[in-house]
Amino acid sequence: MSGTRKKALLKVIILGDSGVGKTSLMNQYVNRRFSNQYKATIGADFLTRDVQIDDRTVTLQIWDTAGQERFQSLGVAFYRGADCCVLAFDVTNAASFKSLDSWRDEFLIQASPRDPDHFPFVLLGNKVDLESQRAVSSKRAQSWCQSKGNIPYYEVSAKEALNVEAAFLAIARDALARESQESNDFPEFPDQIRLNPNQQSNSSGSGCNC
Amino acid sequence: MQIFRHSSADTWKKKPLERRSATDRRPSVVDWITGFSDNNNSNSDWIPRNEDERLTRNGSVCAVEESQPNVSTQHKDLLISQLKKEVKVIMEEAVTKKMMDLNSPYVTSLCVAIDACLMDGLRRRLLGLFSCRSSLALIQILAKQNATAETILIKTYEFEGQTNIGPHLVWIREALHLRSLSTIIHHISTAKNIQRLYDKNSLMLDRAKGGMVAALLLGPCAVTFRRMASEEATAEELVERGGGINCGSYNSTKNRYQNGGVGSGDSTTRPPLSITRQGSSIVSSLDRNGSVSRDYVYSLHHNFKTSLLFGKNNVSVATDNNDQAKGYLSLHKNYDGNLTLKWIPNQLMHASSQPSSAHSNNGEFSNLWKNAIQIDMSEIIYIHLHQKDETSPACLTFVNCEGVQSAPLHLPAGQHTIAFLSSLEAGLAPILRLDPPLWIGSTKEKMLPRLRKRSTAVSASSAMLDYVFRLVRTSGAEPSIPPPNLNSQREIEEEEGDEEGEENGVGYKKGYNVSEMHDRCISLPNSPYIIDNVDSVVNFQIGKACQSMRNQILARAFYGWLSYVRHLRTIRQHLLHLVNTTKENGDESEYEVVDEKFWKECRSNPTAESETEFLRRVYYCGIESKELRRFAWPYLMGLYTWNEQNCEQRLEEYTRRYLNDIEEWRVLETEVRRRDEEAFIAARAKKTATPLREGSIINEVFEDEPTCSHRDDHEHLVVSFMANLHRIDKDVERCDRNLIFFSNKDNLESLRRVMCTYVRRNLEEGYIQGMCDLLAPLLVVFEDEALTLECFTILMARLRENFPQRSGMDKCLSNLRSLIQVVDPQIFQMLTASSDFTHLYFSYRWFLLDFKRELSYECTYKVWETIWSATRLEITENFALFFALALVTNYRDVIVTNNMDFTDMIKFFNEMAERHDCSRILTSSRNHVKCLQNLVQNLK
Repeated sequence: MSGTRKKALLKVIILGDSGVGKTSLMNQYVNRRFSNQYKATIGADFLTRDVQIDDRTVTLQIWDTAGQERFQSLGVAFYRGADCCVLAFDVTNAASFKSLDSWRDEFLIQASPRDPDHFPFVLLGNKVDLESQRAVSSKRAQSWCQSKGNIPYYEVSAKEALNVEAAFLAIARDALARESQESNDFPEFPDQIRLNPNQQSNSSGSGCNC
Repeated sequence: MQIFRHSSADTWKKKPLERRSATDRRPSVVDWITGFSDNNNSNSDWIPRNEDERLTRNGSVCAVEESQPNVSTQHKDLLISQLKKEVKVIMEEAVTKKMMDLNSPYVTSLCVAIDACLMDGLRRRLLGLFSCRSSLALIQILAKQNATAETILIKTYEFEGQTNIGPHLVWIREALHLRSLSTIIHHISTAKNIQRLYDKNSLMLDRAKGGMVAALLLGPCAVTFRRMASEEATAEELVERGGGINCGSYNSTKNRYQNGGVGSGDSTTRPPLSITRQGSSIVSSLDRNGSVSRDYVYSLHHNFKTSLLFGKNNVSVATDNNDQAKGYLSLHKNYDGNLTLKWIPNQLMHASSQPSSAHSNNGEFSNLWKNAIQIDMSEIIYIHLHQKDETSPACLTFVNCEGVQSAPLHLPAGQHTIAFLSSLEAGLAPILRLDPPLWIGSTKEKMLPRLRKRSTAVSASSAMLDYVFRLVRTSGAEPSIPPPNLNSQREIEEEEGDEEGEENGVGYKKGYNVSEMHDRCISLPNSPYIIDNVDSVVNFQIGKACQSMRNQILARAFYGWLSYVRHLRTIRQHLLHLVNTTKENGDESEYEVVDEKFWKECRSNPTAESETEFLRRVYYCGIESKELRRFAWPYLMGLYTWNEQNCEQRLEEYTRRYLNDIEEWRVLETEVRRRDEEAFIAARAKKTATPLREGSIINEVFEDEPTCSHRDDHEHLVVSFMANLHRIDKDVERCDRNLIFFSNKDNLESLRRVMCTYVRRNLEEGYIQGMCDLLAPLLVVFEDEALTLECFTILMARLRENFPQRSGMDKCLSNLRSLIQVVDPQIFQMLTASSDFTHLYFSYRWFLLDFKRELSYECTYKVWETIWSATRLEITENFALFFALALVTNYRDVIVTNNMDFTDMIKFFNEMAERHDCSRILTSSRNHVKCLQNLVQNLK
């Protein structure tokens, strides 16, 4: 936990309408499997996976949240300290694409990152295996990404493991680059995640005395 | 230097056993002596070269020396027996643990033994080609033709830098980890191209014993090893490691979830086996190779088994040939509190740091090993210190309880002697102490005590500084072993008396002849100054200890009172209303489960008494079967009143209304489907349309927003129902598909119908995720859509408060917080340690769905009916809170042991979903209710 070679933990939040496949994407990436028996996510869950980026091992902590906008109020508890936000929509569902704006805005409000204009977002268009039912063209998604400051866009399929690996790797890379840049800019800023273990060991240490 | 054994040792040996050796003597004493005598042959420092005596002491040992049939056979036997010993240790360890730590000393010593076997008879010249003269070269050769070996080699390089053991051991360890060690060894002993690397008479090529190595390792290969610190454990493993869930004892031997856990549980709890073997195994084996010596040298370092109290290089010791050898002297405190003094010649220290050369001169080293000294301080009763003057080198001799002296250690001039003695004194405390104690000088530094010289000394070379320190117990029974060498010509300081003088006297009478006794008695009154000094030191220490105890007691009392008061305040402010104290308490054992017979009685005689009896039975024991629940739940939930007779009629009414509603929203559904289709076609058209122009991106992207200029009521209705219908479709589709009931499409369709009807009736509220989860168990129980809908409506009336945009959830979370704070402050402190997450959000899903996601269907039924009956019995309206509390306290040991924080808790409980021991947690939650009831009652 000291020096420059600290083990990085990146908190990634997946957001998007209910049923776009957030849980499937997370499970495909972390456990490399797909199931059609996932239940609707209530509250939040997360999985972690270690990735090697250049010479660093980075732990991705991927948070999967409930998709219904009513549960957005819960976000404040889970969005905090996020390093990257993955917006997901269903290419066969135009409505899920339309609500991306609201997801993005809501995230920026609740997570309140220090530099909202340059906070790393990634857009994933899921379910591209259902090409015949496609309702949102790749072009349209890309235009939206351009309008939001060149957000990277990936067309993925959690079911067929298409592009999922590459997308998350790019996410990790992006967030890591941003993080190192920020730590250079604001070296005194204490990291959200890494602060916790210290505090705990302190408090438990004092607890032992009595 | 003269090898010296005092005659008095023999003298009292003939006498009845003295107290210390009778009671305190541990088996290691025997090992210690025999260990040295075995391999030191005739040149022992410790045992006189008297064959007669040797035979009387351990007659059997001589047989080994006499018959030495074949050096290599003997050596092979030794290697195999060493390996067997290590394998046995590993297997014994594995039995007691679920999985073993790969970094544990047991594994390392097993690796050393295996390495020794592999190295036996290996042609070094051939291996030299690979520039690595160790067993690692073997695996390198093997890796070229064997995929398993290659994997191991890759792993070895991966972990080589990360451990403090040599690379030739790392590969063995990794192979063990991958469970392929036995295969690899077998391959080595059979493969043609490996065979030519070995001498004819090597162990690996031995017909009988060669295969034995691989066979012996089959056992350890079946053991699960893991790197404790570096790998994360799943929730299940955590619970298993935690010795199962329990509310009772805190088992500190369990492994940590994370590296940065509290304290240093591992170091204090894992008994290091190698310690107990040090005396015999390190010194006894005839042949040592570099790895063993390296290991031995590692054992000299400060580690988790022993702490290094003192270390000094270039301490001289007289060797067999009467010359001085310099070496490293170290004093260690073992985990059991015993002190060990070690001395190892410099050559061996250096050899260990140069592994490549370690093998080249085995013969020389085995000679050197004989000189290594290891003294267990618990056996020592006297320390002699001789020094010409304060600036000259000092000579230390240790005398054990049998009167045997160690070879004198020559410490260089300077403060080393005093440094050694003071660390020894510190290490001996609190059980033993030096007598006379070291003095504390003006600047708080330790100094040798200034004692008055006895004028009656034989030779009065008063310039010499000579001390005899005795190791005595600080209090209680003192080992009363006679000092053996009173006839020495050296000038001896006064043997001062102390506060246990009387005790001493008793001891002396046993072990001494009259003249020595006389000598003693005379010397006692001559040292009043010493007695005073000792007394003042003791008084001071006791006073200090008392003071600190008083402070601690006061502090504890104060903090105890403070937390008690805080708890009372929390209870008054938050928890008072949670339970109703007017209702008397029952006990689980007093009630029986609601069975069919009882239910029939209730229906035939629906009195208030039978109702209470029914509710109590449900609260304490539940309902027997799903079929019975179908009839009982509507009464339990309050849909039907207890003595209602015309239930069928009401159900018919419900059904009629339900069918009507369905017909009504079916019209809306058709409208929604039509619009969906249109929207889809429109979207497809847009998709295939020509590329957009740059300037109008934003407008174009959202152009297809339905433009409703006149939003009349119907339009509003359709739009609103459409949004809900889409949500319902998505959630019904994925509701508990793993259940057989819902793998049937018809049942899913009926779930959807009930859900849609409910949402149509409550369109303002709409569908919220989670409703399907609450509805599903009801449908499974009732298997009647109309009845399900009515009961669901009742259920939702209570749970709606917990859904988003209402205040119920916050209340639940804050009540749970207060409850945990009162019931388990330690957990509370851990969960709220991080100021960012003061809300217990891991329980969000619990309260939202009344634990439906946490439990299996069968358990969900039980918990739900307990919650309902608790409300009906007016015991508490918040039974769910107590169940949540029980969920937390049930795993408190796992939580505390692994120092879980906010995220760990979320992960843990998500992984534990549907795996909880429901009846146990239910019992525990009823107990929590009872506890709070009593507390509140007392408060009132």
